[in-house]
Amino acid sequence: MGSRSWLTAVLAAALAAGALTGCSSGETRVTVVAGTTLVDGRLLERVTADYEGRRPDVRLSVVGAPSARALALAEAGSADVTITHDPALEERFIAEGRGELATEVFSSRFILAGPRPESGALKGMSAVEAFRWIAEQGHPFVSRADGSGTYQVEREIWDRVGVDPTGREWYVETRQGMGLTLQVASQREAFVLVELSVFLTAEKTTGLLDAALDPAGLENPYRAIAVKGSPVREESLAFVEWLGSRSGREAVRRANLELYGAQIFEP
Amino acid sequence: MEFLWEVLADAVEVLSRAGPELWVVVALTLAVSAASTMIGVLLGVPLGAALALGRFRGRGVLRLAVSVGMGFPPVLAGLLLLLVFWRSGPLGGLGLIFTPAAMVIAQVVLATPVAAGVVSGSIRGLGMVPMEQLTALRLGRMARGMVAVREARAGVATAVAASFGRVVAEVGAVLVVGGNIVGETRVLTTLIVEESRQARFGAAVAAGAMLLVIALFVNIAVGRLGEDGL
Repeated sequence: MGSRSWLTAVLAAALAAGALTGCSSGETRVTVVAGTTLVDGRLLERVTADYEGRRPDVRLSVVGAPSARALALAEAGSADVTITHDPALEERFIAEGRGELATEVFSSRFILAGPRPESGALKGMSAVEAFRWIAEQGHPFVSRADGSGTYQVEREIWDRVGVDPTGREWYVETRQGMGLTLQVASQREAFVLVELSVFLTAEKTTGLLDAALDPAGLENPYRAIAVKGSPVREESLAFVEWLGSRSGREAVRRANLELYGAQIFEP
Repeated sequence: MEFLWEVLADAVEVLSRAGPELWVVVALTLAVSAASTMIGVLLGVPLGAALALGRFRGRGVLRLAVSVGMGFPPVLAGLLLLLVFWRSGPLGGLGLIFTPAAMVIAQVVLATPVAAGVVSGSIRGLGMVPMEQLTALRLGRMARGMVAVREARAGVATAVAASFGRVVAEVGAVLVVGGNIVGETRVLTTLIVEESRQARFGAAVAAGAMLLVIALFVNIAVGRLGEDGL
């Protein structure tokens, strides 16, 4: 009997806790679907916490998804705000009249990371030259291959090289987020196109080296879009406006400093 | 409701045009689960018999380890093995990380205690009389164990089914040590996680249906094995 009443008490406590966190009164929930990098890297967590501190009536639920998926979710009405990094897709989304307000919020960059001696040899090359070298050598290359903004940039570079790596023996597709893709690249001593913040966070464990390519064409701009038709239109618009404002940019700078000690996602 | 029908219709379509990409996943699921169940049972049955019959130092500790192991969180097992097999980790030189071999090792870690626990329980469940008979037979330790395992063969069948059930349904450990890489380490459970995360629910349900069919067939087959004897 004693153990049963104890169990009941635990259950009741769990239910009560669930009820408290689940439906605190008067909060408006805004669903923000953002690139996986921003979510996994915790940058957005800090920025949204900052905003929630200013607007206690708003709760921002952040979900990570590759850019293409984020915009598709928005199209299906499952996102109020998107923060993505696939300029071509974003422009189409806006041209179709699905965005209410769009603003560029910050920009990081991609780097090519790889095993030590080989990475050193690529220093100063353009992305196209480096990718051509990888294809010619048949050196292992790990790709997310998942409809992310990162993958989009990668495909554009391969197009300019004139090589389709799909199916090649040296080309590995993870179809997953940047973190795992970087792990696989590290363990296979392969090259990988990686967003700078993810690389810096895992630099010690991966043992990969930044090939220090010519940064032209490797910019990574993020854009926030308030989705048209959102049931929480006002709150969504206000959040996107704030991201682009001086106060929002300050929050991004602070988050950068706390996480990386430098402005990786430059507002 | 309409949403669910759409997902189901989508799943049927995915299954009807299932190509090599899905079959590779199914084949790897079967191979990894079968291999790890086999190894787990081969290790677990003698261990279970020893725990039930043996009188040796450290039996209490071993029994505790098996109990803990039966409920060990798979994703934690995966994490520990990831650290061990990481290239700069203690066994990194073997180059096993993100390979099916690493997945099998993780699954064996999960399956062995289950097999041992079930077999040990069913031998002890034979009751006093068979135990006395075993002692009266004046057999050596090994022979005694073998007779006991034979007597408890329904328990062995259950051990096989339970081990297979645990590994085939498991996602945390294989995801962490395998990486869910296309054509290399992707199994049905990790595929389901990935498809549902990408909101391709039809494809996720299709993979789930495959998983269910496999689990069902194996359970029926193993049930027969237990009834017909070994």
